Amino acid sequence: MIQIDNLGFSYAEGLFRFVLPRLSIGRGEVCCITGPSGYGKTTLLSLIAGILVPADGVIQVDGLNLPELSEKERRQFRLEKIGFVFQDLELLDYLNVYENIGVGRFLDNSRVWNREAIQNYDQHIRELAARTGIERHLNRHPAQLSRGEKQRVALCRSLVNSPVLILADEATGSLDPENREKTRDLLYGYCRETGATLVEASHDRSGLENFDRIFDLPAIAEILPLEEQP
Amino acid sequence: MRNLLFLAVRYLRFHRFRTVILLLTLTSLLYLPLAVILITDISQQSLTLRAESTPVIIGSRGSDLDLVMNALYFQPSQLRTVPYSLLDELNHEERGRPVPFFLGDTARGYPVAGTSPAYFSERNLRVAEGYMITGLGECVLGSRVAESLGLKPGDRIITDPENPYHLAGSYPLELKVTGILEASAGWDDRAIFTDIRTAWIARGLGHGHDELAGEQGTVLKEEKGNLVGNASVRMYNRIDPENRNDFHFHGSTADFPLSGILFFPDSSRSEAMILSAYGEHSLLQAVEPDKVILKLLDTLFRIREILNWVLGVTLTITTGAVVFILVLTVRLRKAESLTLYRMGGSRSLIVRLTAVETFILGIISFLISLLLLGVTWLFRLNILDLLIQ
Amino acid sequence: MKSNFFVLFFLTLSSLLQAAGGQDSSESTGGKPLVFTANYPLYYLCLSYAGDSVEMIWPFDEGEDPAFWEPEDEDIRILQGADLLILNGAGYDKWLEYSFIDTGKTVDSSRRFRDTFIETDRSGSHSHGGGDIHDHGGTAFTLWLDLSQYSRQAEEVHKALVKLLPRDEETLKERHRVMSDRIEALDRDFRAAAEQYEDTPLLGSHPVYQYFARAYNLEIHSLLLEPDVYPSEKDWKDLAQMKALYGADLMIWEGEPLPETRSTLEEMGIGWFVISPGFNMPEEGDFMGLLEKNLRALKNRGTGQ
Repeated sequence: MIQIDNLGFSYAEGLFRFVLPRLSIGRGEVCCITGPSGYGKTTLLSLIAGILVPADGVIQVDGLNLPELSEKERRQFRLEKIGFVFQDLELLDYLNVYENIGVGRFLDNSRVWNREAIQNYDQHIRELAARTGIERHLNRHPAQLSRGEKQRVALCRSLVNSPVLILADEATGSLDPENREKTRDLLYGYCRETGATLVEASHDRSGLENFDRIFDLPAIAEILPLEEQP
Repeated sequence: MRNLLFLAVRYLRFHRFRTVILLLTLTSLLYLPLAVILITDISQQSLTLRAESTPVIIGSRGSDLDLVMNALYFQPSQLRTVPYSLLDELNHEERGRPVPFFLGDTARGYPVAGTSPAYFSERNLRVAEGYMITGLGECVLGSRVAESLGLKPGDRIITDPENPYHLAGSYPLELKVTGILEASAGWDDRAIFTDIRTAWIARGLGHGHDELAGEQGTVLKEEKGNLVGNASVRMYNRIDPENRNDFHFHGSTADFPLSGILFFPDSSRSEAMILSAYGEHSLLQAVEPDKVILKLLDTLFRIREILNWVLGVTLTITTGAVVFILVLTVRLRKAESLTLYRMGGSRSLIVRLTAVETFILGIISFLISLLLLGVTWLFRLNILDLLIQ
Repeated sequence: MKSNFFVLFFLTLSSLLQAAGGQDSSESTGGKPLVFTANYPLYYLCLSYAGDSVEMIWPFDEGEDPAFWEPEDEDIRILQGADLLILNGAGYDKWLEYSFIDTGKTVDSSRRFRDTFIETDRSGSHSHGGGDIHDHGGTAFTLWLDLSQYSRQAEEVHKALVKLLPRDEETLKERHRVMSDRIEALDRDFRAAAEQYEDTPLLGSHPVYQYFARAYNLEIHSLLLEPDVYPSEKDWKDLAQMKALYGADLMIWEGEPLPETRSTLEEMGIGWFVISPGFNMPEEGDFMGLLEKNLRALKNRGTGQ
């Protein structure tokens, strides 16, 4: 599913270079990338999602070499293949739960939304909401929800496009153990059911027993200081 | 575009307070300058139109503006009256059509203008409903008067005991409404017209009462053959066909007052003759309303000039504020922009969203401004009234 | 002056709306101007001068004295549409005092000899049969019985018509010349016929002969009698008294008196003849015919009537 070789990346104004010689994750695997804060977990997820483009190296996701794609193609790739669960959830305050889950629809201009497509999408949103137990809140705004409920909205949003790869960035970090378990169960459940791949980034090393593989980032990647430019 | 619209509308709806503030700002940005232009242009157009349609006004010597404002816009005047005999003189000079007018009273706040039938033909005013006045005690109403007071032909309206034209007041006279004039979109819509003699009677210059001679109990005393009526003599407050013969004027009507005479000369030569004839008169003056109004408009334009500056500064500041709000919005939504980008949205999505939102606000503001301008247009006469006063 | 497009737009719109609601203001008489005259003598002049090019308004009932006409609203509306209103003047056109008529369209046919009007006392208010009470107080108004005055009225009528119908000026002038000649001739005839009354006081049935008397040097003492009403006891007493007082045994009537009246007059030894003021249309003939009839009566002292 994910094949990374000789990846080198640095931020434009950054002082360090993130180097990952090799990482390979198979289809349907449920993995966790751990490491201390600031070690590049989010950067790695962004690279895998095609949000960041490496200076060199290969990132192949679902058969596509991301650095070779155009900006537009990478966006389309995210829309179609990736489900993102953000650290801060990042729900849109001005949309209600239903619209937040389906916000991807408003971002995707390439798809033709006929009546049938809209109906299916609607059904899908309602199913997800029912499964995550937030079907009662569909008309509410995020500000009216508890943290756990918001988390589930964010989860539904990441799953609504039936992604083949789910990237979760500290998705469960701020949850109490009970909610964390629930959320992870949902994610695992989805992956087991659909054969989707899950990559979660977490600085917390507890409760990792359910993951197929755990990558300790400091062990597989390096952060090197950038040489002074001549 | 549909998606952008959806998100923009959702955003505007959620941030109502911000939306309202922006709407108000944009509306004032559009409406205020247009309203100033509209009002000054309407004032100019309607003042000049009316002034131009009345070539000459003859009245008592004094402020020419007072005379014009009184004659054309029914404003109270400080000028003395002119005698009715002047009308005969002008008639006999045969240099055009003199139209007398006398503003002495109001009825339910609207000016009661006594005049002659020529007023209606010269002003091209036709009766839309009912009939033209035929005699004493009758009136026709301007369309706005009829509309605002809910009067129709056959109804009656009573003159006010006190009014801005004559603070002393007089005995109220009941007027019968015979007709409603067609709307003229001018001051005539806001006046009540009667026969000049009815206006005099309303002013208390002529009256009707029961026959004194031979009636028991009505004669107070007899002085040198004149009967003096006591308080039981009924003053008519209504003129009917039955009693209109009894209405009479004390003294010769030749000396009776006119506020002035509108003069419609038959040629430009006649106009020049009339203007020069009264130009050097010690008691009278003949003015060309368009020239007087032009002087007034000069003042108006100076005011507009100043207003333009004030507006210019205000608008610049407002525009700056709007731009600031928009830039701030884009900045505040940076995190959202990033989220949407990470989900596959375009990097410029928020900028485009803000643009669409501004566009929507612009359209709504434009419509509101248009509506307000429409309302301004509807109330233009009230606004003009205020301006003139 | 700067002008703004939408002000123009609004103005245009409102004027369009106005125009759509407006009616045609042109005359509804097929182009002929409408002319009103206050009584028959003036009507006759107008008709003789311009009968073919104007539409005459004659709102008076048969036998009605136009001096006491009280127009209905509908009459006034018709007069408001008139292009010219020829008045008698001398306080004759009383209805004008309470009617909404444009004075600019009126012509007072006697305004040039106002200073020679005869003032009468106001005491004599009376009613004619069932008619309204009225008086002849103020100014005597039967101007036209003095034909020199009638001639001056004709002059005014002529001028007014020339102003109204400038294209017919020549025709009007010619007709007026003919009319003036006729009136002048008649005036001379009346003067001649009146000479025989130099020392003969006359009684008048009604106070309408003031100018007639002044013009033709007649001494006429008027009562308040109507030809179609048989005089009361008191009237007869007054008549007898006046006959005795002025030594008058000849009486002028406005119209032929009733047969009963005639026989009583005969019994009293009072002769009579008719000088008709002609204020309304005669049953037959025209105003000139009426004047000629008056002239014959005056000449013949009533004999042969």
